[in-house]
Amino acid sequence: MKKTKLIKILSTGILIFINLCFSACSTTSEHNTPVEDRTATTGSHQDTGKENNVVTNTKKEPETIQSTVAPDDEHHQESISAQSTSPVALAFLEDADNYTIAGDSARAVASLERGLDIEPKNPWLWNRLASERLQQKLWAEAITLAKKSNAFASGHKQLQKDNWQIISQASTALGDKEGARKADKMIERFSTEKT
Amino acid sequence: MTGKKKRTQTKKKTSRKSKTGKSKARKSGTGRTSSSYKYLILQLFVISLLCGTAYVVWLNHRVTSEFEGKRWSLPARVYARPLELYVGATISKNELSKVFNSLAYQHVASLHGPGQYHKQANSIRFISRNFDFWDRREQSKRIEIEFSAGKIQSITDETNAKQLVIFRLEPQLIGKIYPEHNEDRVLVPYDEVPVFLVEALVAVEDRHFYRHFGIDLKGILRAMISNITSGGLRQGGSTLTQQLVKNYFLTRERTFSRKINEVIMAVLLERHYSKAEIMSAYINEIYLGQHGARGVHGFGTAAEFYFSRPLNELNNDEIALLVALVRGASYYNPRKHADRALKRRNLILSLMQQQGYLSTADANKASARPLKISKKPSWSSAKYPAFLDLVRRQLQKNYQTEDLRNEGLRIFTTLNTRYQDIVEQSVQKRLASLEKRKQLSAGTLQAASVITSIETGEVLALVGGRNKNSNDFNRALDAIRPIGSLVKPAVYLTALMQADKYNSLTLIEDKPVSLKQYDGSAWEPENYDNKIHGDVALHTALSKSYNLATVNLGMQLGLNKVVKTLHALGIEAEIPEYPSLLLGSLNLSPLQVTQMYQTLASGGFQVPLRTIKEVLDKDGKPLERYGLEIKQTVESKSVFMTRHLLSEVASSGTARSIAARMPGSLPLAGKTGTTNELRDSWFAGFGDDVLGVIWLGRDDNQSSRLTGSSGALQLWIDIMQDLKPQPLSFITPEDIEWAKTLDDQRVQDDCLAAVAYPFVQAYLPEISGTCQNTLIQDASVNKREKNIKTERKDEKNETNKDIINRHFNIH
Repeated sequence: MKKTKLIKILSTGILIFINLCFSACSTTSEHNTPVEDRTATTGSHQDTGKENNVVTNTKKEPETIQSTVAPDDEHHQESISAQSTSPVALAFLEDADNYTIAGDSARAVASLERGLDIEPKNPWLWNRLASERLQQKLWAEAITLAKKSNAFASGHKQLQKDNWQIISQASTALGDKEGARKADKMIERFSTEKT
Repeated sequence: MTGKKKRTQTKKKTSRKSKTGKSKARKSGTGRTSSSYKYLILQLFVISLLCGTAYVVWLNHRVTSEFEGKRWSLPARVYARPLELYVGATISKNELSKVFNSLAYQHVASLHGPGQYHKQANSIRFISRNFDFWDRREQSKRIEIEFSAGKIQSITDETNAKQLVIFRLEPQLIGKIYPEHNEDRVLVPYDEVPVFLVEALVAVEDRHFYRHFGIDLKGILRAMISNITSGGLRQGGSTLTQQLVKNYFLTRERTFSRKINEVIMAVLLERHYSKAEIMSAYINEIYLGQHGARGVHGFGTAAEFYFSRPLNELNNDEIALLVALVRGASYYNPRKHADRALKRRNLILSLMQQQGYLSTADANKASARPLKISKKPSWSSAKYPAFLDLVRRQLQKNYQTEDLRNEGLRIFTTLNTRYQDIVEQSVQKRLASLEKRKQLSAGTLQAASVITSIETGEVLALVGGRNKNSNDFNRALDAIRPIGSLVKPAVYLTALMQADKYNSLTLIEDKPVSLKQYDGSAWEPENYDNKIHGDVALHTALSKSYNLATVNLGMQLGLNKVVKTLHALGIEAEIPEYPSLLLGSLNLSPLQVTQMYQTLASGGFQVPLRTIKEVLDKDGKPLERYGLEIKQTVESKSVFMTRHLLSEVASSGTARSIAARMPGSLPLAGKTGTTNELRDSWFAGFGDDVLGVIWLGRDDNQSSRLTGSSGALQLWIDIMQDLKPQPLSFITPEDIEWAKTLDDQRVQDDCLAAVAYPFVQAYLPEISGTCQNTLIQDASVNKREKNIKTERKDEKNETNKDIINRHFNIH
């Protein structure tokens, strides 16, 4: 019983961590295929046995997450800032991940929008919604949602960068070279700012 | 209707046939021998046997086809938004108790089943009900919510001692869209029917139900004797099956032929269907009351109608009351004849006890309970008529009226009932006091109000007038009135979109102007105070709502550009390009105005206003979801600066009552609007999360004697004092930079007396003003410029409070 609980805590932590850190992962090669990557990353937690409901254990310990995933500094910082957003938003992000894993994009979107009803200015929820639309190849919507996320993302550089990556990819898909070029410039800016 | 007509016609035909047969028989009978009589009788016997058989075959066909093919028309059920309980949510114990009351949860000392709650010192414990949402079924849970300082501190699922982050309560039913024949029905599957109900029906209505074949000869005899001897409980001879047949297939007329049909059909029904199927149909079919023009059919509907609770939550005494109504829903109507109803209920309970279904103790306990009928059905369609009107209009775009009325759709809406109640009460109070103060005769003033959630465009509350009559004119949607100065932010936004030419400090001329109108006449607008203010800064012109400055600015910009901006803000209606447009000769409904301000409030992102979130079919299967649609139609930086200007309206401009009456909530933003001869009084305002648009005026278009400030704004403040909007946050967009200004000139950043304004970074004005109380000795402008830029970067991380302090020069 104890063991299952521990696994559950660990997996929950990993799931959240990876979801939030994913936006931080930003090598060019990764970014060329972020749609697949997202699914693959979250997909690795498919058999964690998590229920499809918004329940998280409040006694989640960041240490456990770190020791399991052993992130580099950048990831570490980003995960901490994301975790400090709010447990409610995290719960919905996790919920959405579970639906995405199950291939149920509609419910993932519904869950994120439910989160936005409670926290309408949470940039993580808007960002996650943008990537969901990107997966659905709803390019224009993905761009708007990423911009919306950026409107509330000041101070979260990795998140902003990820939003620009979404914009870049969706703009490319739309044939909007100018839009993609501008987005790439922003990505570069955030990359250099970091170093 | 047609079915019944056909039925009657067929009956007539049948009787006519048999009459002709008899008369022929009489004619042919004269002068014939006895053997031919016998032959004739035989012939007649065969004919009537054939006719009878054919008739029974026909009835049999009707019974099977109609019983199996029967699809009850189910009204669509409309729900408000569910309450999300989450750790940190601002809700007190008492507020949550109120929510439970509105959901008809019972307050009990100890929890036994769903739909019950129990208050403790710092917590509430409850058992939720199962509820099918669009995304999943929320299973019934035993929950404890702990409160601390008016907020939720923890949520515990007591069944597994798990801490929950969030829990969603089932939503309140706010309305129904009824079938044309006005039937109300809540279908209850047989496995959810309380055993006590089945037992009570058997005990009271049909003791031999499980033994007879549709009719109960013994029962008829017993009923006759009982009725003659006791004079107490009136017993009928009809079996449940007969009663069902009567309700299902036959008319209400009391004729012998109907009785015969009833008996035959009851027997046929029993031949084809199981007792459970018959009982289930009976429970969902039987007539149990009247709600206005609507019949209340079935026990599920009756439970909702009399107790506002699901059937499976009712206690034995409550079930007994519903059973009492079978014999005469109007005669025993508990809302009108409580004594009669109580008496009959207790008779039923004692009958149950006599037959061994209840122990004496339980029967006595149940009999001692009062009726406890709910006051008014919570879904009474008169409760939120204006909102439901908008829901219906939005639904009709996607659903046929037939489906809406008959298919039992479950419609999930955005209505926040707490907000709606606050708005309605505020409207009543404020309108009455304004009428008194302005010496208007009572009832002349009218109001409309729309409250929305800014980022998601959800309509949270909607008031269409002060009377809650469902047939009343829905002013929020249909009162198309000139919007006056509410149009001005679009003019100033258009200016700020040209960052190379305009910023908040740009001087514009507030001087008389004469313009040619479309009919050739000259248009010479005036300021509200009839003064001419000369050169004024852009921000002052908007916050003080100067007409002349606005017209001059608008003409400089070009009417076509202002019209374009209005469309970008979400006005879909055609906008005539007349100069008077600049002062709001544009006619819009409060809802359209809300759409326009929505885009301003949400930073240039346009979200269509929505009332419907999801639609499920009667079995809880998801049909449609109306998700968030969002597009950016105006660039963020210009809207950011306009929003900032609008916050000045609330702090020191025409809406400064906000600063006076809600000082702790600043910054908030908004704009007043007044039309000629004070016909319309408008206010549109918002915080960080909620937008509210108010219109006050008169249906006869006479003067309301109110300006935007003295009327609509005051009501807006009344409402917002209760809704408590979040103060505006100014999360600075990429290319915006804050700089300090004094007397409409940019000054050094360390100037204490100065106020910060946002500018487009590339067009930041030069420092031109001097500051009297500079703290920092270093006078190097270049160095200061550098400092400001560094600060700008830090701003990204600063708290809202810092920005508020800086914005309002609070140090």
